Amino acid sequence: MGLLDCVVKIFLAFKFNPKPLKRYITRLKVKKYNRGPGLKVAATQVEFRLHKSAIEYFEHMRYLAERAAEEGAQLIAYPENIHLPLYGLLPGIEKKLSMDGRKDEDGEKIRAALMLLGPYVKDIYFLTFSSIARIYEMYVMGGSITVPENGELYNTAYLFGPDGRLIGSQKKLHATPEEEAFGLKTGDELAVFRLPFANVAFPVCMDATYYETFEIARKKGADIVIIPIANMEEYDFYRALRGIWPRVQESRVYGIKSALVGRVAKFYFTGKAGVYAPLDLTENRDGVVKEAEHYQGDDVITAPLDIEALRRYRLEDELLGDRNEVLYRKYFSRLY
Amino acid sequence: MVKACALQLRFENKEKYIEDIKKYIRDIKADILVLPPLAGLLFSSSAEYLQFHLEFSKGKDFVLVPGSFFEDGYHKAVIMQRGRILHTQCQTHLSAQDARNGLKRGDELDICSTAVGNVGILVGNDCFHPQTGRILGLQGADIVVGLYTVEGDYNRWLQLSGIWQQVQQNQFFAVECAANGRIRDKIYAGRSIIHNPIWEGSNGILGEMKEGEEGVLAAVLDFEKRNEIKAVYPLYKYLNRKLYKKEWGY
Repeated sequence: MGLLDCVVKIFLAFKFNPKPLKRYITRLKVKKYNRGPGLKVAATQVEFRLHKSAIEYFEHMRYLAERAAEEGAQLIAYPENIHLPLYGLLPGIEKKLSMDGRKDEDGEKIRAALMLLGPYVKDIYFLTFSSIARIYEMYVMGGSITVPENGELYNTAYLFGPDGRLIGSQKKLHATPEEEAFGLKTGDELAVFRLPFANVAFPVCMDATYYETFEIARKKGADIVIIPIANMEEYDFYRALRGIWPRVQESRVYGIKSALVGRVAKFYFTGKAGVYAPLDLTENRDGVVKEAEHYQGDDVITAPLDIEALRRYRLEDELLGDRNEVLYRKYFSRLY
Repeated sequence: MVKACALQLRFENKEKYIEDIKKYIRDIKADILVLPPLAGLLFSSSAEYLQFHLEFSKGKDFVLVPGSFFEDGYHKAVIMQRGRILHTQCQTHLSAQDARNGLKRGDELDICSTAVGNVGILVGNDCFHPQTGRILGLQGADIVVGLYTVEGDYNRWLQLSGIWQQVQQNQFFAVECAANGRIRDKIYAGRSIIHNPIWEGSNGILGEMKEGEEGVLAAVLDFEKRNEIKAVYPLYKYLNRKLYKKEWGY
């Protein structure tokens, strides 16, 4: 390691030191909330702001969890790339993010930055979301972070139990061209977690573009599929309708979408947090249980889910009960 | 550029259907024309139905998909051009009602090379099964014809959960023609819609006709724009084949 690398790492260890946050959390006094009968879930919409300290970041995330807890949620989901607000700890970052470079160079630079910063943001991420889970006695899908693992970059989401312990993780399964440019590796396993109230999977963002993701989740017993997103595009109703909404209709699961939104430098994220269900299980037969009113700004959407009703509905499915395995095997064995 | 048309009618009987064909599409200028599904039920037999449309397509240059019909226990559709059948497609997934009616399902789902590109057909319930669009798309479908046959009150969300989303996740065009009106004591409602993969300034719908309306829906399919979308965002490149193989064995 060169002298410069050494200095940089010392600096990062100082800026991302989790000890002040740990002390802050230890001293925190939080109201306990009662939960009503039945399952209630929460989807967060998180405004991308560059935080100047880990405590500021934690408070931003905690504020959203507190709103969900007030409304009796047992499960809360955060968006994709939820580590981005932590880059605010780096001095001059906004200016750096505004700079345009050549695209091929961008990929290499982004990769180098993610590899370098990953371990530091991961520590703060784990401390933040495991603490939120423990403090509010909720299951917390903390959103995803793009960090290195065994020398490769993955976009990985993590699930924490109400005791704060890590239950499991999920690597993004389908990359985007932008992610490919900086060498993101994808996972090759989709996990379904058996929670006391439902079976839950949480693939990441682009995974919802591919029906295969949800079909596998359903095959493995998922009742709820959470999709954390960070979509860098202007909001448009139909663009946003792609992804989780049709996947929920095809696979007969409940869907929870958590969205990173807001503009920082050249990054502009849009999306509405929401909870979705098969058309027949929603009041207006539109597949939307509840959705944020606006595609910008912090928000928390909570909604009750009836897992037994979903399972009954599947058994009586008039439209989509059929599977043509002969067809799939014949074609997919040569087309995939 | 391809001009795609769909004829939407309210079904009553064979005579009205034939009159409507004359009225609406006698001098139509199209590259591909799709007629309403289930029209075969208005004829005394599939043979009569096919003969009528083969005669109609003689001397015409456009690719014709004349709705759908029932034959040998299958729900089928065909692609015709200049009085000749180029391709036959059976429905491959059954609704619970289809199964109760004793319908059989096909195990083939292929594309057909035509003058307007590679064309595939999704018959009836198939539009709701995402595997179907993927199979056609991976074979290289440029245009998928959707024959929408849903009974009862119209729900636009239900219809969008079918072909519209298949177009978005497979980047082909779709010409969707819906059954409307009463056939054999069943009432159908749907909208004919021409779909595109979303590109700048578009919501994925090039044209749409309200349920119950009659007339010709037309739109131009801009292949250049579609190809550009595919080049910028090649969805199939990122399929996770290793995962699928592990889970399904194929």
